Amino acid sequence: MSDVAATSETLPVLDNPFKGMKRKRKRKTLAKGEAEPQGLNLTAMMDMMTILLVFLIQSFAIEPSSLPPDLKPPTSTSAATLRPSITITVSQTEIFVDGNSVAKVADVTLGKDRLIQQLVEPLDAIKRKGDVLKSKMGRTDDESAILLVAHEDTPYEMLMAVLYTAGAQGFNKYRLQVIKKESPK
Amino acid sequence: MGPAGDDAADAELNIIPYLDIIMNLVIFLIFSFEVVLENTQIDVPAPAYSAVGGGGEQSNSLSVFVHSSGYDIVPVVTGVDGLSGKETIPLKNGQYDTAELTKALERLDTQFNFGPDMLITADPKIAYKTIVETMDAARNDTKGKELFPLVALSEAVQGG
Repeated sequence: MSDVAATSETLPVLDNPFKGMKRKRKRKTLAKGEAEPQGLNLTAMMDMMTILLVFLIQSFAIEPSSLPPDLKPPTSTSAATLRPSITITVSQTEIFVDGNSVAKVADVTLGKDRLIQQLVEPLDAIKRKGDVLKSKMGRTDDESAILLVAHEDTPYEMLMAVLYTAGAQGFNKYRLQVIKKESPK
Repeated sequence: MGPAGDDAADAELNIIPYLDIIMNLVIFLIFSFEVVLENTQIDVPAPAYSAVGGGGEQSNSLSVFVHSSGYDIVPVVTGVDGLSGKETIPLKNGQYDTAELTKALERLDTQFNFGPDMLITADPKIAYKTIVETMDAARNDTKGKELFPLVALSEAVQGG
């Protein structure tokens, strides 16, 4: 016990060698009149949070799809950006034109003329309205595009009947809406 | 300025409620972000019915017929009588063999240079997703280079 005490007395250097320096610096700071830092500095965290928030709001600004619940479009590797068009939606049970229900899928019968009669009138009305607008605005382009949003199990004959009916009403460009899938590397 | 003024100058803005709101908003947005699916589109040119089959001025064209039993590829080449007939790609393990279709299309395009257009025809009951898979298979070759980016849909009926 006495040996230990003697050792600590003989080796005072083992105490914190920077202790004196720290105290000196503190005294210097206080002498300059600067306040001693207190609490956590939240500025950096707030910066980060704000950047994250702006990024997420920007990403969220993509128009959320308003697809019917019984509609799942197929996935595709196509990377073409979705452009606004007249939308024909074919779900498992119903057909919509620009969000308005026009027919039940079960009621659609494809005759020899291959037209879907329930689609003819709404498409014709949209086409006429578009033509009037174009002439008023002095546009001469013939961009009359149809965006087809169909369920992945829709039979081919139904797809073709929709496109054929749209074509018969003067729509000459077709686009298929799909969900983006990563292409295999 | 008196002591009250000094207190006002020293007072710091309490940002804890602001941080609480931001934190909740960030968590909400992160969870909402997960369910947003990116929608894209496939441009489909209006079908040129005269491109396949006889009649009129004919140029090289390529058609893919989608059946319940697989794919049939029918190339039509100007000046080559009858060509080599149709090429069939059967189902593989009950699935459409899109990899094999890409290889076959790439080989035919290298041989005859069909250009960017292709025509797809399908049996009436073939599902839409199969058509989109076929379009995807035709869009790029095995090296990722553009092959047939313009795929038209046709309603022609293929016998056999």
